[in-house]
Amino acid sequence: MNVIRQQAPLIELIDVHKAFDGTEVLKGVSMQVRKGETACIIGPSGSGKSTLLRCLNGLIPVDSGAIRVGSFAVEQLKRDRDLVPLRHQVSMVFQQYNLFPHRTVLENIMMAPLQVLRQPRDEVRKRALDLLARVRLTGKESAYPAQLSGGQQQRVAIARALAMQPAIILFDEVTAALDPEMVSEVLAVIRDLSRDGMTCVLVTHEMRFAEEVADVVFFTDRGTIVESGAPADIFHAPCDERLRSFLGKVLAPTAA
Amino acid sequence: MSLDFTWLADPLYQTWLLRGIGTTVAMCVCAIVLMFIFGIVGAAVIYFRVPLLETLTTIVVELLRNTPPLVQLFVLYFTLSELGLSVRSLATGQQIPVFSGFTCVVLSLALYNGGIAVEIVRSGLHAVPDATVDAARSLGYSRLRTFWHIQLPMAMRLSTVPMTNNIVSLIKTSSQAAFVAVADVMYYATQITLENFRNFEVMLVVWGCYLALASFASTVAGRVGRAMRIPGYGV
Amino acid sequence: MSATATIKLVLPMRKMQPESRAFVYGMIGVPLLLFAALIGCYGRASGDALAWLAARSGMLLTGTPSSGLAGGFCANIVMSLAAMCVSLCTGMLLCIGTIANTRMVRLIASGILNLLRNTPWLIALYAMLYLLPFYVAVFGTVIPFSPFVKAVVGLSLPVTANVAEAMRGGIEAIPSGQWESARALGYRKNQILRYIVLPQAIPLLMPNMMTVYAGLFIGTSLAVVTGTSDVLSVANTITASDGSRYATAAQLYVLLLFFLFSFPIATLSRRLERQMREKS
Repeated sequence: MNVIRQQAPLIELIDVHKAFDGTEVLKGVSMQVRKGETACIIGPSGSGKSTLLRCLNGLIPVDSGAIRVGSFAVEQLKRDRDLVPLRHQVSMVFQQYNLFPHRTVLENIMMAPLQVLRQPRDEVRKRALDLLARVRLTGKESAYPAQLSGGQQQRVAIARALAMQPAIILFDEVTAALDPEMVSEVLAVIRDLSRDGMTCVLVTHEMRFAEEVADVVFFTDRGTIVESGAPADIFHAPCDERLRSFLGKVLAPTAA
Repeated sequence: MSLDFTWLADPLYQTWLLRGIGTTVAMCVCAIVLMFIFGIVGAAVIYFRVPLLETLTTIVVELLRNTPPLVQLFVLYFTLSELGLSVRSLATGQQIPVFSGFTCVVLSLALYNGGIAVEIVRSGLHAVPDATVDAARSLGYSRLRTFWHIQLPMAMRLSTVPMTNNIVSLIKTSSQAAFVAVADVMYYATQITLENFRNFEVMLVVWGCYLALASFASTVAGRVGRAMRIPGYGV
Repeated sequence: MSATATIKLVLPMRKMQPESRAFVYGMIGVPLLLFAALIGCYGRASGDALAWLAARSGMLLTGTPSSGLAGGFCANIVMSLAAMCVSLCTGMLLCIGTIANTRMVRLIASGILNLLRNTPWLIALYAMLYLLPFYVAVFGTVIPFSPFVKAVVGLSLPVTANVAEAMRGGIEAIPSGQWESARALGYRKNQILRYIVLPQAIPLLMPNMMTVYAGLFIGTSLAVVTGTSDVLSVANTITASDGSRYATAAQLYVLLLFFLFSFPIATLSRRLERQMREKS
């Protein structure tokens, strides 16, 4: 019994539908992610990956279906006030970092725990400095976001998400806007997080990274999850034709 | 508070109001046409840096934009009526003053909003990409032709929103015509008020007239703007 | 003038920013233009006109001796400041109303905004003249609604709409990514406005607010309708009493006064706008 409960999924989507202006973007998505797992979502653009991610923390309300995150029934949380406890559990990092330009790096990390969760200042400050060390940016506390490189800003964004002490972190194509030389420093941080046992859901184009770090990979196409499984199966033994043609296009045609 | 609108049924008042609205509309239409002319010519003079005229136009435009239109109207009215120019009407043989209140208001509105229009057209001209102008010149268009066929049409399309606001501003400013005894809708409203003492209701009706006029002008300008839109240009 | 002297004068002008050059042109050129207009109107009588203006200038600037600073041009300045303070508050409320969560509140706010935007200033002032009572008795004390107060209230109406629009523009200039990441962190709408969007939007708003103020100041010329003794009504009164010979001179003088006050503000606003555009 205990074993089964331990393996009950932390995140569960059941038949989720979402349409924007009449166009259906999510056409019945079902997926499960267990605690401590790192899940990667891959797929062509327009397949609904980002929408899916935003449904998980309630940024986008769904039309039908059930979303269970921990003990929250996300599809039933409508008001901002109700969503705050969920946001304490689930944090998100965006492609465009979206740091607050009018505040220093340290303030960016400390703001939400102080103003949203109302936690004591000393505790938050200590946590923020620890997180800065964890993303290897000690010394940049008083810098403003515009003074940092893209890779540094994205790492600050990750620290900001971690400051909320979430159980789950969502990453929305976080390396897509970075210059190539800065991608590896951000991926290193994500790798560390994954190894430390954080439940992560990544939408990414970095196939090699996905293969290395993921416990489960989901392939989406045109609003549904076409295939899912362990990385070895998805990347080296794809079943579905669409997955095979997608991999053929995005994986470098090096020695297979 | 009971509102009494029964006076609206009186045919005399209706005629007055309609006549007033007619005068207002006529004033605005003439002024808008003149405003466009002033705006385009002024913007061209400044853009092409015509030697003496540029400085003079800049100074005049700054004067017009930073001073009250009412005072500009008074200046025009006093000076032009002092000139006492009059023309002999061919029909009646009487002397008709050339610069009546109506003309003064039209001129004043055209100048004040024309000054604003100069700035709007100028920023529209600057928004036309240099590359487009270079392409036109290298095709052999002279500077004047480039302006007339390429830059000006694009500038006008790019500045429909501020120009619409300018037109609505003109309509609102035309309400000041009553100060110089032009028989527009405000003037007749005052006349009606003098007779039936229903200040509040008359004011409401006049307010409604201006709202209707302004909304109508906005809608028309919006339609024209949409019809002239450059597809896919991101405007 | 010697060549070196001319060069010394011209060179600094070339190096100035475009607004500074326009500023100098304007401050020198417009008074010159008005002066030329005066001479054009009065010809040889210009000297008399100027003397008359000098004699009446005190009254034009400050109203009658008994009214202290509450008359003439000073009245215009004080009115505009008072109306601006009122409009900043009401405009902000209206702006927040237009982005409210409840649809009804949004509709009402947009309706009020459109109504005020399309209302001629003159009608707003006339309306105040007839709508507002002559005094209001609050808890036994009588507060008179002087023409001054009526003018301030009447002017605040259209300016509220302008302020609300300027604020809307500032808030919409903040990228939506800021809103999204703030929501993802758990911020609620009013918290987002307070901690994240407004602190960024307010510096952006400054040039637009200054333009709104300049427009308001020019609009105070209509206060003559409410019976306030502002500069225009003083000018009309003394024209009526001294004979209409110098009517044009008085009006030209009023033009000059308004210009000297509004033009620097407009120039400063343009400079701020350019600096902000260059920074981004």
